[in-house]
Amino acid sequence: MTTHRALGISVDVPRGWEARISRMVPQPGDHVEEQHHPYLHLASFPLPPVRAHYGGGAVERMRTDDVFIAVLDFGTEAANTSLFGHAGLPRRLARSGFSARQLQRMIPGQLGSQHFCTVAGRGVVLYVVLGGGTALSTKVPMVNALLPSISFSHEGIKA
Amino acid sequence: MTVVVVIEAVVLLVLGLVVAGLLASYSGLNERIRRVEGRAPQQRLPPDDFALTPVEGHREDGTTVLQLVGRTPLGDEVILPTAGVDHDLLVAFLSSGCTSCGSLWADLREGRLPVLPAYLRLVVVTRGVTDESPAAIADLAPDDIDVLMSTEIWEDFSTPGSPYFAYVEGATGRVVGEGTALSWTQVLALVATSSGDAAVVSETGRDLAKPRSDRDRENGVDLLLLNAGILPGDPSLYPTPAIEVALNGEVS
Repeated sequence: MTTHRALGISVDVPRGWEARISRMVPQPGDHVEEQHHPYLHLASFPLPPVRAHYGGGAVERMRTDDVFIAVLDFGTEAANTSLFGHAGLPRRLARSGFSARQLQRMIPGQLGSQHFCTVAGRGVVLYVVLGGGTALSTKVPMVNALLPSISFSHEGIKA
Repeated sequence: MTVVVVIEAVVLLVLGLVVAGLLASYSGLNERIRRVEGRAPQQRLPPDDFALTPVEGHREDGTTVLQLVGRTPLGDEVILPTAGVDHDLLVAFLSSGCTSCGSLWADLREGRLPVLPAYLRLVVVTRGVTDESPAAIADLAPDDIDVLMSTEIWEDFSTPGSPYFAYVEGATGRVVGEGTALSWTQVLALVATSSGDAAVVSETGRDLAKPRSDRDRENGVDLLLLNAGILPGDPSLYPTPAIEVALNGEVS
C-alpha cells in the first residue's frame, strides 16, 4: 500500500489501484458563496480524467470484478445534520449492504453502498460501487481493509 | 573577364560567410533565450538520436516503476499504478517550451492522436509545478488525456529531455522500451517494438481533427450531464420527434 495524502484527505492505496484527490470545480449557476470541497476517488481500474463526483464517466468502464470508491466532503454546514448523523466513516461494509438500489445510476449487474456520516466536523459521503457480484468476495474485503486508513485533517480541507 | 569572375567569386564567398555567421549567431541567441526562460532541456539529445530510438538494454538494472505520482494541471493529486495492472503504459514526457513538443501537443489537443491499442494507456508527464506553469500546461493539454506534472517521475525514468517516450509493461512495471520521436506515428513504432505488436503501426489512425472550442464545449456539456446522472445512451437524450408524436397520436 502507498499512502496518498492531499487537500486534507489521506488514504492507503492498494497496489494496482488508482487514487485521485480533487477539488470540486465551480459550475455555471453556482451560488456566489458556494463551497468547493475536496473529494477522493479510488478505483481498481483506470479512471478517466473527466468524471462526475459519484463516478459518472468511470463506472461505465467497470468490469464485474472492479470497485470504485468515492469519498465526498460536504463541509461543516452538513455536519451533524440528520442525514449526516452517523459519527465517523464506516469501518467495515457488509456484503449484504450492497444492492442495485444504492446506486446513483442503475447499471445492470452493478451493486452500490452509500453512507452519510460526520467526520472531523464535516459532512462526508462514502459511496462504493461494485462492478458485479464477483467483487463482493474479491473486493469488499479490500475495501474493508483500507477504510480505516481514510482520514481527514481539518486544516487541509478548507474550501 | 577573368577579373570580373574572380571579383564575383570573392563577393559570393564573403556573402556566404556572412550568412553562415548570422545563422550561427541566431542559433546561439535562440539557445541562450531558451536557457534564460528555463525551458531548455537539461541535456540536449544528440542530433542522431533525435529520431525514434527505442533503447533495448539501456536500463541495465531493469528499471521497474510501480506507480506515477503527480498533480494534474487542474490540481488533482493522482496516484496512477504502472505495475500489477492488466494494461501497458505509454509515458510521454513533454514540456511546454520544447519546440519539437509543439506538434505533439497540437495533435493531442486537436484529436489527431492515432488509435492506440486497447491494452495501452497514454499518460503525458511534464516537469513539476516548480518548473512548468500549470496554466500553460492546461492550455496545451486536452481534457480527455491524462496529464501529470512531476519532476520526480522524470527523474525516476532518467528522462534525458523532451520529447521522450517510455513503454512500461503493466504486469511487471518494467520499462521495456524508450526513445524519442517527433510524431505520434513514430511513437507507434516504439509501441510496436516494445509490445511486439506489429499491428499497431498498420493502423491508419483517426482523422478526428476538431476545433478545440468544440471539444471544450462538448466536454463541459458531458460533465454537466454526468453530474446530473445522465449518461451516454440515456433515453432523455433522444426525445421522440414531434412529427412521430403527432403521427402516433393520429394512429392511436
